[in-house]
Amino acid sequence: MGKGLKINLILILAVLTLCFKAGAAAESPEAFYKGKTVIITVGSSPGGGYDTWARLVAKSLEKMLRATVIVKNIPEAGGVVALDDIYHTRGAGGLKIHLARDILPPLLQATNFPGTSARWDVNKLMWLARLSTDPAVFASSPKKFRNFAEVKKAKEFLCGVDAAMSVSGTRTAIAFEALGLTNAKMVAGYPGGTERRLAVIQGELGGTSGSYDSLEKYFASGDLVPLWVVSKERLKENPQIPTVYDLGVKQEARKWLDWELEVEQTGRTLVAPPDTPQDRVKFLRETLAKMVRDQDFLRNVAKYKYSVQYLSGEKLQDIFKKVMAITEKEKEELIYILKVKYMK
Amino acid sequence: MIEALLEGLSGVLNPVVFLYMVGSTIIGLIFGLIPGLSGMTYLALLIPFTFGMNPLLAMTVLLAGHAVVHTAGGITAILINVPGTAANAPTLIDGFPLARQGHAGRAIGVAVTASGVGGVIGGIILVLCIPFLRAIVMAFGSPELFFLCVLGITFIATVAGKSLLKGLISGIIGIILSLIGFDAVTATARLTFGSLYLNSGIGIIPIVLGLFALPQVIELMSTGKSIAEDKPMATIASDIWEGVKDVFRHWSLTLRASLIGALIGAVPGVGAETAIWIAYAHAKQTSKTPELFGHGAVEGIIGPESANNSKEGGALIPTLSFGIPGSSGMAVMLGAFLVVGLDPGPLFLRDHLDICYAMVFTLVLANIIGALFCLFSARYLAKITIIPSRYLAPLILVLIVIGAYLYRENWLDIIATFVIGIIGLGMVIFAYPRPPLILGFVLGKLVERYFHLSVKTSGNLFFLRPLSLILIFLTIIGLFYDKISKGNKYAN
Repeated sequence: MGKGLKINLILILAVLTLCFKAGAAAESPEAFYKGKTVIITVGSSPGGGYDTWARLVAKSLEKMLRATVIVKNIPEAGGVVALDDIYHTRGAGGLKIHLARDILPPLLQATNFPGTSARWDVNKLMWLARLSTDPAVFASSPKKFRNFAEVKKAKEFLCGVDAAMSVSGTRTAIAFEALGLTNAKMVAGYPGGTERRLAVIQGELGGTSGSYDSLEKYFASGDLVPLWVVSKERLKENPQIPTVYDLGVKQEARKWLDWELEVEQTGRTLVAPPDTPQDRVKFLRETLAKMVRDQDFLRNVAKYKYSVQYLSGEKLQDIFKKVMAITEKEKEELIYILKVKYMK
Repeated sequence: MIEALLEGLSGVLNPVVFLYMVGSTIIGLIFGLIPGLSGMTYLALLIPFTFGMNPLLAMTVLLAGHAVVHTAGGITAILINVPGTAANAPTLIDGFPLARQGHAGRAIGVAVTASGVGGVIGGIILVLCIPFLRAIVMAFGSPELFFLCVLGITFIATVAGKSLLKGLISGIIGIILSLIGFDAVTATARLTFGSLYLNSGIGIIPIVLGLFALPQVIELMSTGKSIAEDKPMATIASDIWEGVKDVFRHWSLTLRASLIGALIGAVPGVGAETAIWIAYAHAKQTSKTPELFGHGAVEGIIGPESANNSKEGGALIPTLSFGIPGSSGMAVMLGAFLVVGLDPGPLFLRDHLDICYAMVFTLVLANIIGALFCLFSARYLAKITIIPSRYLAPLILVLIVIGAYLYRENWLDIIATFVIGIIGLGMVIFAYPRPPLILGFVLGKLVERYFHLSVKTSGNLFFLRPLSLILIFLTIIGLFYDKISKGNKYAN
């Protein structure tokens, strides 16, 4: 091949590449998604609440993006692997999103969770939208405790959690700290919320926490009674349940309760990898904002007795900035409260 | 009550519902035949199709297919030493050797009939238990679960084979493997070496595929013979029929194993794998010919196969009475029930007793349909064992890789399968029994968890509870069963 021919070939290739890139850049996000395959990863097994939410979103997004949307379950390590996967994903170009588990992302970063320390910065992720959030309700068996006063008077109040520094463990430890329950202890190691509820009904535990939706039928049957809700306002579904603030929050512990409630605002949240192009992030945020108003989507959500509490990606991004602004000393204090202070 | 029972029966026998039940049963069987796909996957994929169905029809579609996944899962365990689901793992210990002897038809006949009969017994147990559902679930707290797991782990001695020492070493390796991962109590990663994959522990499917299926592929490749080792094959139809009769010849074992499956299935937090291994060990312990186990004993197939289908009836007990799933499959089913307007929980039996009976009839009918379908297909499937290894071995290898990946859709599970495969090969070469490793793996972590929870919630004297004391007594009987039965033989 002659030298001139080689140069010409290189030039043609360069021009073609530039044209292709320019074409790609000019492509609107709407056109980009059409006919593509989008993956929603979820950090739990098929069938649970998170998986169901992911499938509901997939069904609606398919219609709105005119793309194929599939759900991929990555349940390993209680959602940590799925979160790590989205954080380290590069080059997906907006074709991969993740449904994050409640307070897990900031919690992992704030507590230097085993295996994840120094890997994380939640502020680098592209937060798209919050779908829902459930305040934690604490419950007991009426045979053990009927209200907070009885809990406070008791010799010991044993509360079941999945693990130290898990979502349930964090909610429980911070509630104990806020309410000054020096007689309260956490027992870690229960496989999940259902097993904890059964242990309370059996009388093995004094109490446990869960969302109101998951506990409602046990309140109706009289197997469980509500003790308090970790929220600033009373629940619309049951205004009889006192909030932690109604019961008197210790002034010195208030900052951790406020921190937790701030973190709780993030709820079940859709998030994209850090390198997702800005125009596609914007488009996905707008599409999700439309989706949460779509009647079909809302009807399907209601079938599961779920409800939508939408929060925009921009607001989520602000919340994460705020909650992650804690010092190393505060981190140590938090780890002590979550891992040591109330653990039996 | 009778009215609700008749209403449930007429609902299930409605031609449209029945047709859907047959269709779902067949789909469930296909899921069982593909390694790595489980009853949970069946439910997750079928749930969207039940949107808009009436509650009875949706429940039938979901329950019928889910109930028979294990029925078909035993077939691949027998034919190619690759269990369709983790709950079919013990079936391969005796099912595959029987297939190698040219009796694949008989092995399938035993497995499928035991599954069907076990499923029917599970349904009957559920009906009989309806008045006592709450009492049964309330009886098992952490101390009782701990002693149930201890009872299970003592069966390592039973499945150890000729050398008790080798069996114990194998069991200990299983326990160590079960401890890999994130420890909930201390919030620390154990034996993970910084790997996020190991944080969630090694799954049961890579362990089973690596220990049993991979060494088998290597053996097939090295000998160059078919699975039946070029032995003449028995007349398939009569061989299958012989297998069916075997189950009824051992009716007492079928009934006992089904009871074990239903009882353990009713206890949330223990898991299907525990039930089937205890049923296998029980079959060996009570057999008149325990020396045949591992070499094609039909009781070794009857035990686990009866248990793995009857446990579904048991798993419905806590699901219906408390809304607390007795198995991972039931957890998925709970979500599906909500969509169609059913909310299993404390008030379910009062409000929907007819649906509850319809579930029982679905379990019973789906198991019968599933078993019949498999029995009719067995004559064709059994021919797999005479395919030359040069064609079959690569196919099995592909199935192993697919099964390992589909389990959690994680390619690292494929690597784990091959690493465990090396251990499995070593165990074959040095004659270490593999079942104790699985038993140790399944129960190791559960023993640790429930011991911790028992001490923390009930104190050091947690064993002083009536049911705990009964389980301790049963464990002691189990440990000395061989000596007691031998003593009786000499006395006679």
